[in-house]
Amino acid sequence: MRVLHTSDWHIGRKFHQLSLLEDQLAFGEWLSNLIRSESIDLVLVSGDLYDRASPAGDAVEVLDQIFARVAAAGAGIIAITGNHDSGERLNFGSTAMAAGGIHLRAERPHLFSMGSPITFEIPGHAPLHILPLPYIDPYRITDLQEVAPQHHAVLGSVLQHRLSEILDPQRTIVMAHAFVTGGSTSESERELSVGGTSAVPVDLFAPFAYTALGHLHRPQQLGAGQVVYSGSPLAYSFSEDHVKSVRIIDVGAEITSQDMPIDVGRGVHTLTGPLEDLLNNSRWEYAAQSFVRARLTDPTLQLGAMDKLRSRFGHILELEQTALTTQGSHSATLTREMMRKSPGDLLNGYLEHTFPDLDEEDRSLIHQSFDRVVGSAR
Amino acid sequence: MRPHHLQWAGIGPYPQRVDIDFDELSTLGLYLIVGPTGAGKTTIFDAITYALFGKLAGVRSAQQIISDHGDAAASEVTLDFSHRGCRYTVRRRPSPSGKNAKPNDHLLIAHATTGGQDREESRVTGATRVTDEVERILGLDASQFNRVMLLPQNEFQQFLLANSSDKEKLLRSLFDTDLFHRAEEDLENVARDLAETARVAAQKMEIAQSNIADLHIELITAGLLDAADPVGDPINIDLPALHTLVAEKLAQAAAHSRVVSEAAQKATQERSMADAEAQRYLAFIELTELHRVDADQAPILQLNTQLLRSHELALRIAAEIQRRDLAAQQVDQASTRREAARAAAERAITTSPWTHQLLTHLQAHISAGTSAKIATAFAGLRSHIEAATQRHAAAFEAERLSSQHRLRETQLLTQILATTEQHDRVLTELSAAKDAVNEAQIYALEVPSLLKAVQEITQLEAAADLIAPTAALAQAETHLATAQAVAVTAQSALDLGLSVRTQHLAGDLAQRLSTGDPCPVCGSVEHPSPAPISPDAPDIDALTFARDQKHQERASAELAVSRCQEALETAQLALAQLPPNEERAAARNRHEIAETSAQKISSLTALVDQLTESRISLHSQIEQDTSELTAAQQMAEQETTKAANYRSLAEIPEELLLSTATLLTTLDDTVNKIVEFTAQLDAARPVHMSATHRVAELLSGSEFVDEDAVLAAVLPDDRQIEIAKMMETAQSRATKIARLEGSVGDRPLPAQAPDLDALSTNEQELIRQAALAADAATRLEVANTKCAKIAKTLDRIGPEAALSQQRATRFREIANIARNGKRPHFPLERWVQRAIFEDVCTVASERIKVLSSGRYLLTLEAEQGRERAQAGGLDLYVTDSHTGHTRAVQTLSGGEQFLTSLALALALAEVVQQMSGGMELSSLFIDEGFGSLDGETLDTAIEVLRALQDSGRSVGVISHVEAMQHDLPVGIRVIPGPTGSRVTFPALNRN
Repeated sequence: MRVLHTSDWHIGRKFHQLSLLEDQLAFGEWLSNLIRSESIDLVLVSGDLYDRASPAGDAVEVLDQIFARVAAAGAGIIAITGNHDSGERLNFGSTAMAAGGIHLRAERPHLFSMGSPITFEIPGHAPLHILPLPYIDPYRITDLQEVAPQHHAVLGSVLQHRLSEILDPQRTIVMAHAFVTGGSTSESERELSVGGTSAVPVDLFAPFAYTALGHLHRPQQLGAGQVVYSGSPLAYSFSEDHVKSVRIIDVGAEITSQDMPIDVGRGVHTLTGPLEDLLNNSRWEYAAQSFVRARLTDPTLQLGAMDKLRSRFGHILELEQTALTTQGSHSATLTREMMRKSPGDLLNGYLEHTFPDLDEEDRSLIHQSFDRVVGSAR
Repeated sequence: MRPHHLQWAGIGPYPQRVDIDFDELSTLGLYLIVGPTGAGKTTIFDAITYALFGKLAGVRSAQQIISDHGDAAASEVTLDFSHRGCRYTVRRRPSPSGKNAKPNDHLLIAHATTGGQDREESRVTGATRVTDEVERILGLDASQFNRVMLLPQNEFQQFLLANSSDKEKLLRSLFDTDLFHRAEEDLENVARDLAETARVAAQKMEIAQSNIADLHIELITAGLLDAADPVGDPINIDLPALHTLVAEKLAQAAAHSRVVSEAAQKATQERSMADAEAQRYLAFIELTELHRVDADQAPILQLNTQLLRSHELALRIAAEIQRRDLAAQQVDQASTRREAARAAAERAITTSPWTHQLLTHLQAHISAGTSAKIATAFAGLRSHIEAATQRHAAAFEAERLSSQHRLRETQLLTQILATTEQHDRVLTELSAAKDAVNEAQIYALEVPSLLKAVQEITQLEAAADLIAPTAALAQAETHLATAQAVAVTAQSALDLGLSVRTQHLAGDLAQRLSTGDPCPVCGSVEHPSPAPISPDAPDIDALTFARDQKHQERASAELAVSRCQEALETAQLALAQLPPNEERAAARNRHEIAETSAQKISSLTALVDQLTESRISLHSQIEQDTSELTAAQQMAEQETTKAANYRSLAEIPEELLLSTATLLTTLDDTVNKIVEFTAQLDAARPVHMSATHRVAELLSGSEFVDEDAVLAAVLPDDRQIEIAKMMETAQSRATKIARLEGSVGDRPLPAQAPDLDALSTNEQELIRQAALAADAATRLEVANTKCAKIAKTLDRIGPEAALSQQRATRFREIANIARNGKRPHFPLERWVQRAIFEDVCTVASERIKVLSSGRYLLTLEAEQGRERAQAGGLDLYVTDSHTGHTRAVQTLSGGEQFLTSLALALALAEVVQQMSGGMELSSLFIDEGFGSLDGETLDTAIEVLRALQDSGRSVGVISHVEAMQHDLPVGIRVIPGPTGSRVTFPALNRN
C-alpha cells in the first residue's frame, strides 16, 4: 500500500500580487501523473487547502480540478482543514463526498466531534488507520470546558480522546496541522500564536507509525524521523529557496517513507550585489526564470533599477536598495532621543537652522518672548 | 496607561450593566471587536474617554453618553487603570442636565499596593479636579489620549493624503504646537515694541531740534540777538554757533548790568538820608503840643485819685458787715430747730407705754445733757430692745422645732403598729411553708419504690399483648401449607424423572442390541419389541437437589410455626399475671403525686428562705422605729424648755415689742436732729463774734463816722470807669512824649524840610534801568544753559535712536520669517511640526520598510525639481527603491496607502507617547478601515498588528471584515436588540 503525504497547497495564494493558480494547477497535473506512475493508493493533504477562509471562485475551481484528477488517477483522498481554511465551508458536502473516496475532515465547533479515525482497506493488505486532526482554533470551540484555550492543549485532548479507538498505533497515521516543537519556519506561514503558546510537543506523536504534518512550508522530519512536514508544493516566499517535495509512504510490514521532489513551479532566489554586477555577471544566469528578490548594495540610490533588472530577470518581484534601507534605520536610534526634546530645544533648533548668524541681543529677546509664552501656557 | 476593568450602567445604547475585563481580554493579545454599525462599539471608547476626562473626544457633549434606555439618573462609568506602576479607579456619574452634580459624582482614587493588598491612598472629587488630576497623571488631554489609544484608521488614511495645512491642525492638537504658534505671535509683538521704541527715539531727536529753533526765535523776539547773526538756516539752527553767540552776548550784558546797578544803589542811599531829617522835624512840632495838654490836666487827675482810694476802703468794711449779719441769722435758726426736736423726743418718751429706767435716764439727758451723752444713752436703750426682740425670736424657733418632733412622734407610732401587724402575718406564712417542705420531703423518700412498681406494671402490659403473636402464627401456618405443597410437587417431579431415566436407559440399551445378542435385562436373544428411544435424559441430580431444597424449606416453615405458638403461650401467661385495671391506675397516680411533690421541694425551700428574710427585715424595722420615737420625744421636751428660758430672759413682754419699736424709730429721728442742730449752733456762734469785732476795729481806724458813711463812700460803676479812662489817657501821653524826645535828639533841627520828591524820581529811574540790564543778562544765562542742555541731549539720544532703528528693522525681519516663513525658511510652528513629523516618518518608515519588502522609505523631502520645492513642509513622499525616485504618497496603490497610513498612525501614537514623557500605552485599539483590503494586503496588515501584540501590547481591532474573524479571536461582540445592545465575549468562552 502506498500513501502520499502533501500539505499547504494554499490554492488562490498570490505572490506579490501575482496569481499562482496556473502553477498550482500544474502541480495537480504532476501529482496525478505521479499517482499513476508510483501506484499511489491514498493521498493525505494536511491542511491549508485554500489560502483564505473565503476563497475566490477561480481558486475553488482549481481545487475541484485537482481533486478530480487525483480521483481519476485512482487514489483516495483524506484532507484536513488548516488555519487558513474555513471549517464551515469545507465541511459542506463532506459526508456525501466520503462515499466517493474523498474524506474532508474540517474543524467543527464541538471539540470531541473531530478526529474520528478512518480505516483504509484494499484487498490483499492489512487495514491502515488514519487519525485526521484538523487545525483547531480554541476560540472557535464552544465546549472547551476544562481544556485550556491553547492550541496544543486542544489538539492533545482530541488525540487523547481518540486514543482508545486506535487498535494498532503502528498501523496508524496521524494527520495534523500544527507547529511542532523544533520545526523551522518560513516567511509565508501565518503564526499560530493565538492564545499564547503555539508549539505542540513532538512527543505527542511518538506512539504512531507516521505523523503527516502540515503548516510549515519547508519539508522536514522531526522526532525519530516519523513526524514529517511534507512542506508546500510551491514556494510562497523568498525564504523558501529549498527544493519542494511530497512524501511517499510505503505501508508494508513496516512503514517507511521518502521524499519525491516536485519539478513544476518557479524557484525563488535572492540576489545580492551592485546593480552593474546583477545586470552583467553571468553567475546570476540561473535565476533568469525564477522569482527574484534583488538587494542592491550600491552606496547611492540607483535610478530605474527595477526596469533595468526586469530586462534580465523577467520574474523579479522585490527590490531593495541598501542605500535607502540603511538611511532609515540609521536615524531610528537617534529618533528616540530626539523625541524627548523640550520646547526650548525645538526653538533653538529652529533658530540655528533659520538664523545661523543671529545677534546675541536678538537671541536673548526671542528667548525672553518664548519664556513668556511658555509661562502663560502653564 | 493600561485599562484593567471598565464597567458602566445607563450609557449609550446599553440598557443593562456592562462589565469589560481588559485584563482578561489582553490575554488574547490581538483580538477583534465586532458588531453592526450603530450597535455601540464606539461607546466602549467613549466610556473610557469619559471616565478619564469627563468629556467625549471631538465636539460631542458629555451628556450624549447617557443612555436612551433605562434610568438615565443611574448612569455611571467606572474604570480601573494603572499607569507607571500606580493603580487608579475613576468613577463618574453624568447628570442628565449637566447640573445638580454632587462632588462625589466624579471621583478618582489612587491605590497604593502594600504586600499585595490594595488600599486607598488618596482621592479627588469634583468633575474639574478629577479631570485635571487625570491629565496631570497621564500627561495627555482627552483628544490626545483618544488619538493614541483609538487609532481611527480611515482618518489617518485621509491624513496621509491631506495637504500641509490640514495636517497642521492635527499635529497642532496632537503635539500641542500651538505654543509655537503663540510664540510666533509674541515675536511679532516684540517686533512691534522695538519699532515703537525706535519711533520714540526719533521723536525725541525732532523735539530737541525744534527746541533749538524755538530758543533762537525767542532770543530775537527779546531783542537779545539779531536775526542777521550767523547761526545756520532758521529751521535747522547750528547749535554750536548759537551757543557761542549767546555766551558772548551774556558776558556783555552782565558787565552793563553791574554798572547800572551800582548807580541805583547810590541814589537810594541819598534819598534815605533826606527822609530821616524830615521825620525829626515833624516830631519836634508834635512834642511841643503834648507838653501843653499835660499841664492843663494835672489838678483834675489828683482829685479823682483821692475819691478812688476812699471807695476801696468802704468796700472792705461793707463786706465784713455783711458776714456778721449772716452769722447772727444762722445762730438763731439752729437754736430754734434744736428746741423743736427736744420737745418731740420728750413727748415720745412720756407717751410710751413701756417705762424703764433706761428711758428715764435718756429723758434726763435730753432735757439737760450734752449731745454725746444723749447719743450714748440712746444706744444703750436701743441694744436692750434689740436683744429682747432676738430672744423672743429664738423662743419661737424652739417652739416650732418642738411641735415638729411631736408630729414625727405620732407618725412613728402609726408606722410601728403597721409593721408589727405585717411581721405577725409573715410569721404565720413561714410556719405553713415549713410544714409543706416537711411533707414534700416525706413524699420524695417514697418516689423510687413507687417508680419501680409502675415500671413492673408497664413491662407486664407489654408482655401480655396477644395480637402480634396471633397474626405471626397465622402467617407462619400459611407459609407451612405452601411449603408442604411445593415439597410434594418436587417429590413427584423426581419420581417422574427417575421413571423417564429408566425408560431412557432401556431405549439406549435396546438401540445397541442386535438380533441374536442376549438382552442384558431379560436375556432374550430376540427382541420383538425393543424399548423406544426417549428424546432427552432428565437431570436426576438437579431434580434431587430441588426436592431436598424444598423439603428443607418445609422443615424451616414448620419450625417457624412452633416458635410462633410458643410466643403466643408466653403472652397468654403474662396476661394472667396482670393485676386489675384500677390497681394499676392507682399505682401510677401515687407515683405521679409523689413525683410532683418531690419536684416542689426546691421552690418551697426557696419560699421559706424568702419569708425568713422578710421577717428579719421587718423586725429590725420595728426596733429602728422605736428607738427613733424615743429620740423624738426627748427632743420635743428639750425645745419646749429652751423656749421658756428665752421668754423669761427677754424682760420686755412680747406684746409690748411693737410699740417699743415705734418709740425707737421716733427717738432715732429726734435724737439725731438734736445732735445735728447743736453742732450747727456751736459752729455759727464764734463766726458771729469775730465778724462783729472786725467791723468795729475797721470803723475806728477810718475816716468814716459810722456804717452809713461807709456805704455812701462806695462809687457807682460808671463813675469808676470814667476815672479809670482819664488816668489811662494821661499815662499814654507821657509814653508818647518820652518817645518823641528820643527821636528829636539833641542835634540842631534844620530850618525847613528837604525836597523828597526830586530825590525819589531820580532813584526810581536808576532802579528801572538796573532791572532791565539784569533781565537781559538772566535771559541770556538761561539761553546759554538751554544750549548746553540740548547739546548734551543730542549727544546722548542721537546714537541710541539710530541703533534702535536698526534693531527694529532687523527684528521685524526675524518675526516676519518666524510668522510667515520666507523661502527656504519655514515659520516657527511649521518647522517644529516638521521636526516632530520627521521623527514620526522615521518611526513609520521602520514599519513601512518591512511592509513593502524594503521598497519604500517615507520622507518629507520632495525630490529636487520634481515636486514644487517644499510646498507646505508637511507633505509626505515615498522614496521608491524600484525607480530610485521620490514621489508623492498619493501615487501609492490603495493597499500601499492603507499600510502606510497604518504605519503612520502607529508612529504618531508612539511619538505622542514619547513626547508626553514616554506614556506607555499597553492597550491599543484600531478602528475600521480593513474593509477595502485585498487578501494579501489584509494578511500583511494582520502581521503588522501581530507584531504590535508581540511588543507586549494588547491590540483590539474594530472590524466588520469577516476574514479577520476567521483569523483573529473575537474578544468583544456587540449585539443589538430591540431593547438596546449587549456585549458578549466569545473568545473568553463566557457569554
